[in-house]
Amino acid sequence: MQAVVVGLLMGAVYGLMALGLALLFGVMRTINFAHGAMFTLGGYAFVVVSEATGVPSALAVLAAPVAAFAVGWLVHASLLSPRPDSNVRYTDYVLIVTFAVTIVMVNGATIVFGPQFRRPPSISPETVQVLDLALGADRFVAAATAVLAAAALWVVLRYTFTGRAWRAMAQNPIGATVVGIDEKRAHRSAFATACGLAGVAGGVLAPLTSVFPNSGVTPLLISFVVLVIGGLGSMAGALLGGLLVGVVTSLGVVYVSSAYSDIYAYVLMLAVLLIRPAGLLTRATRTY
Amino acid sequence: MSSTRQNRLWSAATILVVAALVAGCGESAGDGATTVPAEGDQPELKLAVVTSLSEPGVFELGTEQADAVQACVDWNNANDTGVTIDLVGIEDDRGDPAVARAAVNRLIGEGAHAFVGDITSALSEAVLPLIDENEAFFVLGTSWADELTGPDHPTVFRVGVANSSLATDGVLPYLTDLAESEGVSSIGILAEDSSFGRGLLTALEQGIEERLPEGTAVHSEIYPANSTDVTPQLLALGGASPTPEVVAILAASAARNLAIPQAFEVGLAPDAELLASWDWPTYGDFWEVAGDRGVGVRFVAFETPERSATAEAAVMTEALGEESSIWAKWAWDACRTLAEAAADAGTVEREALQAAIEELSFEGATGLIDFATEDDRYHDRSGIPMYIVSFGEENAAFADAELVYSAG
Repeated sequence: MQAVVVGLLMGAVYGLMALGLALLFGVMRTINFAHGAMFTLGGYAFVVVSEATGVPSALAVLAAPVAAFAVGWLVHASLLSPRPDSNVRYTDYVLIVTFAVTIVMVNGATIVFGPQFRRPPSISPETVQVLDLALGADRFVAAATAVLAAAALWVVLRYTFTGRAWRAMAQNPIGATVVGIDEKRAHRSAFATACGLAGVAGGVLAPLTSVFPNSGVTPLLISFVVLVIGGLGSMAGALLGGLLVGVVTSLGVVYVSSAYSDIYAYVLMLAVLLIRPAGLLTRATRTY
Repeated sequence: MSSTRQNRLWSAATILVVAALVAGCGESAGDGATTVPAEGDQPELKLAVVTSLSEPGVFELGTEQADAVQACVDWNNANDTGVTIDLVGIEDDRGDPAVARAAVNRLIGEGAHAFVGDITSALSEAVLPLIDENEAFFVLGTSWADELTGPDHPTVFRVGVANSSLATDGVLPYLTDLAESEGVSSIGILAEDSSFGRGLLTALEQGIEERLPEGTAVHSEIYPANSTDVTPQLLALGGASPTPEVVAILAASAARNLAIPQAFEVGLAPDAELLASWDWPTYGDFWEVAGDRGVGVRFVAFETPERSATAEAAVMTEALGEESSIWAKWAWDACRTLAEAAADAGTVEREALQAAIEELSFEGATGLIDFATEDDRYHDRSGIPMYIVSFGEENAAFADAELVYSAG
């Protein structure tokens, strides 16, 4: 049972990371390779604001999504908005550019912060007793933040013009443009929001796993697995996939063998692809 | 001219150029490896360093290594040691085995026939085929996998520890002492999935079975080397029956520091004592990550907090202009090993130099340097002192650490 609790808590954050990728894939039909770098940026933003201002961690962590959102907005405005004047497809162009952005951000972080681990103060230093397991409250804060962020995104999608524009772009990009939705603007806001979600994940996990220039690499890889399990572009699928990956990995380590802890998520992905090649909740993509 | 014919001509020309380049490189590497001419009446050692000088390699240790070798070369050439050292180059492998391999290849092409480096076993493992093929010398300091030295690699020596000696001369004596003096009967091991982690795990499991009292329970868990969350593995350790009273952490990468707060988080510590398998708590970001939970963590060190007091260590401190860590001292000793042996042999010819290193015995910065030639510890040093130390307060430096146990 302890393994399930730990798995669910980590899985919620995996889901949060994948949520941003799912949103982006739904709206822009592409993948942001800089998603892991935005995760790292969120962690560093939390560390810097916390050290520079001394404000409580619960406030300092808000810098994480703000910084990642702002950088995401800038990246889109400066690098992704101008369409390439060549035969390269736009989706491929985004992949290449965001890969380059990752390299720049990781090296920039090394230059600015050094390769050392940085750890912001705990958001909630208490211990939470679940069953006979005492876990740091930061894990629960991370999981609760993931749930809240997912709920907020659902509200935006349902009840705001921006959300409706994203849904329209996801369902029919040409039709959406015809009825007056600004494609560039919808893409930019979706890209920045996805980056912001990665930033949130990086911020809330920083007290648990610390930040270093490459700290976004492993979460990015897990996010891709989660995305495939849940179904490309499906937000509910991203959350479900995250929880499944967290629980299966944790149970596998505790009850099967820790020697294979790297592969449980991939085995799960292969199993899902065999049973439901499009992912667990792909249909949700079309209806949100 | 038809385009097909033109293409064929271009292909033939390209093949000729590549073949000429390959032949040239091979000739140069071969020359450098076997028949390096002596300058004047003393031999000239063509030395090179390949180590991690930037991220994601362990650049802090690599930089220390490089600085120590540079200081060793400068000191050697400024003193009458009977050998001249030409430092062919110091190359950064960035922690990437492929980059390390390319760097060694390039340096061999430039005439290097002796190497000092590399930081990790995986990196050293990657360059070994080139070392063997070119009969170059490689003196290791911080690569600990047992397989790196052995009769299959006759020109490879190690001045630092090997996994097996770390287990038998460092960790096991301490665990035995805990079992005898405090009745510890359950041991947990958290090992990263790497040449170092798995190698040390195997050595420890064998040693515990042979040396600890019968009935001592051992439970081990392995985690991916790139992981930053080892709570599932720590939960599994905590759930073992009987619960471990000591948990040895065999790690070199990201989770080495993180495992400490996470062990507290899952309730494994402080009931279980945490034992770091090398002196990483004396480095960089330990306190940043572990915080006050790092107080009381015990770790294996290779010198006492007073630091090594050999005459050679004093020479090194003067040459470097500052006190150095054990990692830098191993690099200095590696450089000095090659220089001393070349001076003894009066040549850098391969067989003579190998024989001279095997017969070498001198007081280095880290103590007596001599190498075994028996198969089980072939070309490894024996008698490296090991200690168990810990910090009594947060943010303490190594000089302030407390000596807990002297493993001999």
